[in-house]
Amino acid sequence: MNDRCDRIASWLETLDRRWIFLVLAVVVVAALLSGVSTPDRATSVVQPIYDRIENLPDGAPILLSLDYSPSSAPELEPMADALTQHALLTGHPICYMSLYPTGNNMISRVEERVIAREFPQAVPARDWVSLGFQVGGEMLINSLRDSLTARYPTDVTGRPLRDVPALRGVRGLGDFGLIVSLSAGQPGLKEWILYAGDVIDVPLAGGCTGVGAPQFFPYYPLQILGLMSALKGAAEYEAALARGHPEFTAANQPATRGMGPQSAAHLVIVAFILLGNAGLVLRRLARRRSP
Amino acid sequence: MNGWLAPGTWNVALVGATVCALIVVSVVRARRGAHVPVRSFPPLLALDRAVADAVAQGRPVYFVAGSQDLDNMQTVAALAVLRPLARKVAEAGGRLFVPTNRSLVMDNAREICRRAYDDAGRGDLWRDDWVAYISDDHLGFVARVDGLIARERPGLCVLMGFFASESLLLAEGGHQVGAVQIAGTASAVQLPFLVASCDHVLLGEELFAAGASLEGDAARLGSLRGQDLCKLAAAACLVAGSLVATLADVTGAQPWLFLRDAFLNVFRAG
Amino acid sequence: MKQRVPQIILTVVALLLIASAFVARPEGSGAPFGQRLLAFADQEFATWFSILAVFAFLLGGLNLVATHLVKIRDRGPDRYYSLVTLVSFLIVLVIGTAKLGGPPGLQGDVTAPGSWLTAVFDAVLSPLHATLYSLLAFYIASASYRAFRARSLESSLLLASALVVLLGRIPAGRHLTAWVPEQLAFLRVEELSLWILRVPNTAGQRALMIGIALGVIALAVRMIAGVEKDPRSGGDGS
Repeated sequence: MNDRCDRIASWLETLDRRWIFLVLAVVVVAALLSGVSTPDRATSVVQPIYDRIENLPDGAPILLSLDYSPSSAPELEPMADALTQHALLTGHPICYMSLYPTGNNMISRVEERVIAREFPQAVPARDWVSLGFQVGGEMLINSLRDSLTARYPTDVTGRPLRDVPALRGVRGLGDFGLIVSLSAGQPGLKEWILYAGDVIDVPLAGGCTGVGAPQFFPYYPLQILGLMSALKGAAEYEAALARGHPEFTAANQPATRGMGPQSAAHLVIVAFILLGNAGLVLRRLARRRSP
Repeated sequence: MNGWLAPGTWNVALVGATVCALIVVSVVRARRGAHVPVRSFPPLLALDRAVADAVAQGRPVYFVAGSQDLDNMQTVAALAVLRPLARKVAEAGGRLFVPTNRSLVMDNAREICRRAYDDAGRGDLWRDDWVAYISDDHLGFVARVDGLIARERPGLCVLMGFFASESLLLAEGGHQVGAVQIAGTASAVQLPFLVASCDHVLLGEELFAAGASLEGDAARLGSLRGQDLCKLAAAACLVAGSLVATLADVTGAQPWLFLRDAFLNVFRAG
Repeated sequence: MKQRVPQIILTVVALLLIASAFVARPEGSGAPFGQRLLAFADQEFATWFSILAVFAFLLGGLNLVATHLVKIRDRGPDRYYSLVTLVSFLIVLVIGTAKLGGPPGLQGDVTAPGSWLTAVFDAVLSPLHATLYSLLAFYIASASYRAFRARSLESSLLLASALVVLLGRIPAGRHLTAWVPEQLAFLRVEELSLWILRVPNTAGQRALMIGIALGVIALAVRMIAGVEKDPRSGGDGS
C-alpha cells in the first residue's frame, strides 16, 4: 500500500508538463467546437462603465484608447467592440487612439468588424474618428491634456481635427465625456490614470488583461469608475448591453461565446492543482505509515 | 507663488518634496560616514554560487534587462545589477549573453559588459555580439530568447527589470533547460509568475536596492536608508489616518473632522 | 567632460520636467518668462522624445542588420535563421516606407485596409502574436500545477484563494454556489472572488506600490543628483 502511494506520489510530482498541455488543448478545442457558452451578468465593477455611457449628455464624445497589440486582442478586442456598439447606439461620437505601435491596425479591425458591418449608416468624422498611434506613452498623454492638436494635427486620413464634427468642442482630454483605455501593459491604463485622470477632472475607465487586473483594483472606484478585466469583463459588458438594449441581443457577442472555452480551461487547471495536492497527501500518508 | 502653482497639485508637491528631502539628507549623512546597515538579499547571495557553477559546467549566463527602454527606472535598476554580475562572470572566465529589446539598452549593456571584462583583465574573452538587439516587439523578443536558451542551455538566467506577459514565457524557457533562475521585478502582477518559475526572486523595491547592495557605495546605501524612512512615514500616516477617520466618524467631534479633512486633502489622488 | 555633459543635460531636463508638472499654465502673453518656459517644455518634450525615438529605432535596425550579416558571413550554425530575419526585416521595411497598396501621399494612412502592411499584419504578425501569447495558458497551467501545493499554512491560503478566483471568474463557478441563500450571498464563489481581488489583493498591491514608488523616486533622485553611477562607466559618477 505504502509502495503504491509512494509510486503514485512520485509520478504526480514528476508529471511531464506535456500531459498538462495535451489535456488543456484537447479540452479547450472540444469546448470551442461545441460552442457551449453561458450568459453572464455585469458585476459592480463593470456596470458603472455601462451606466456612465448611458447617462452621458447628448452627443458627448468618448475617447477610446486601444493600448494593445494582436497578442492580447482576444481579451481586449471584445471590449472595444462592445463599447463601440454602445457608443454608436446611444449617439455618442467615438474617438480612437493608441499608445501602441500596432494600434492603427487594431483600430482598423474594430472599424471593419463593428462599424462597417453593424452600423453601415454611421458617418466617418461625424460618428467616429481615428487619431491612430503616436509614440511617447505617458508624455503623449501629458501633452494631449491641454490640446489634442498639439500632437494630432489631423486624423489618420489626413483631415484636420478642426474639420472633424465628432470632436466639436473638444480642445483637450478634459472635454471628453469619458476616457476608456483598453490596456495590455505599459503604456496603458496606469499611465492614463496618472497623467490624465488624476490631473484633470475627466471620468476614466479601463479594460485590462486577466494577468494585469490585480494591479488596477487599487484604483477602483476612486480613480477609475469601472474596470473590465479580461474576457470575463467583456462578457459582463455584453450582458449589460444585451439587457439595456434588447434589440441588440442577437448581435455578435464574442466574449460571451469565448467564456465557454475559458471556463473549460479554468476547470482543467483547477483539476490539475487538486491532482498535484492529492500527490502531496499520498506522499504524507506513505511517510506516516512507513516504519 | 499662488499664480505659479497649478491648481490641485500642492499636495503632490508637498509629499514629493518631503520624500526627496528625506532621501537627500540620508545620502548626505551616509557620505559623511554614517553607518547604513543593509540586510542581505538571498537572491543576490545565490548569484556568486550560480555564476561559479554555470562557468564550471561550461554553460553561459543569460541576462535580460526587462522589456522596457531606459526611460523606465526598472531598466536602469536592472543595468545596475548587470555591472557587478558582468564582473563576476568575467572574473570566473565565463560567457555572458545579454539579449535586449531596446537599442539604447543594448548600447548601455554592451559598454557595461565590455568594461567589466576589461576591468577583470579578461578583455580578450569579450565579444560585442554577446550583447545583441533582438526586436522591440516583446513577443518577437521572447521567441528569439527562448530559442537561444533552448540551443545554448545556459547554467544561469538572470531576469531583472520590468516584465509583462513575457516573464512567464522567459522563465519557463530557462526552467525547461534546468538553468538556475534569479529574477527581480517591480512589476507586481508578474511577481507570482516569477516566484512560480524561478529559484530566487527580488520582490518589488528590492530590485532598486540590488545594485546598491551589490556594490555597497555609501551614497547609494544612504538613499536606501532614505527610502526606509519614507516607508516608515507612510506607515505612520496610514495608521494615523485610519485612527483619525474612525474617531471622526464615531465621535463626530469637530477637531477629528478637521484632522480627517486635512488628511484627505494631503493624500487625495487627483 | 565626457561624463559631465550628459549628467548636466539629465539634471536640467529632469528638473524642468518635474517643475513643469506643478506650474500653472500661463494665461495670455503677459505671463512670466519662467512660467512660459515650463509650459513650453511640458508641451514640447513629447515631440522631442518622438524625434529621439526615431534615432533609437535606427540604431536598433542597424544593429540588427549588422549582427545578422556577420552571422551569415561567418557561416555560423544559426545563419539560416539570420537570413530569414534579414529578409523579413527588409521586406516589411520596404512595404512600410513605400506605403505599398495604401493611400498615397505623406499623410496617407499606411495601415489603411488594403495596404500591404495591413496584409502582413493580418496574415503574419497577428497570428504569430496570438500563438506566442496563447502559450501562456499552457505555461500558467503547468506553473500552477507545480506552485500551488498545500505545504504550509501560507501556501494553503494561497491555494484556497487561487481556487476561489479561478472558479469565481467563470460562469460555471457561479452555478456551483447558486444554492447559497440570498442572506449569505457574500459566500458565493463569484462574490468571494471579487472580494479577494478588491480587499486582500488591493491591500497587498498598495503596499507593493508604495515601496516601488519610493524605490523609483530614490533612484531618480540619485540620477538627478549624479550620485548613481553612470551605467556605462566603471567608476563613480560623482
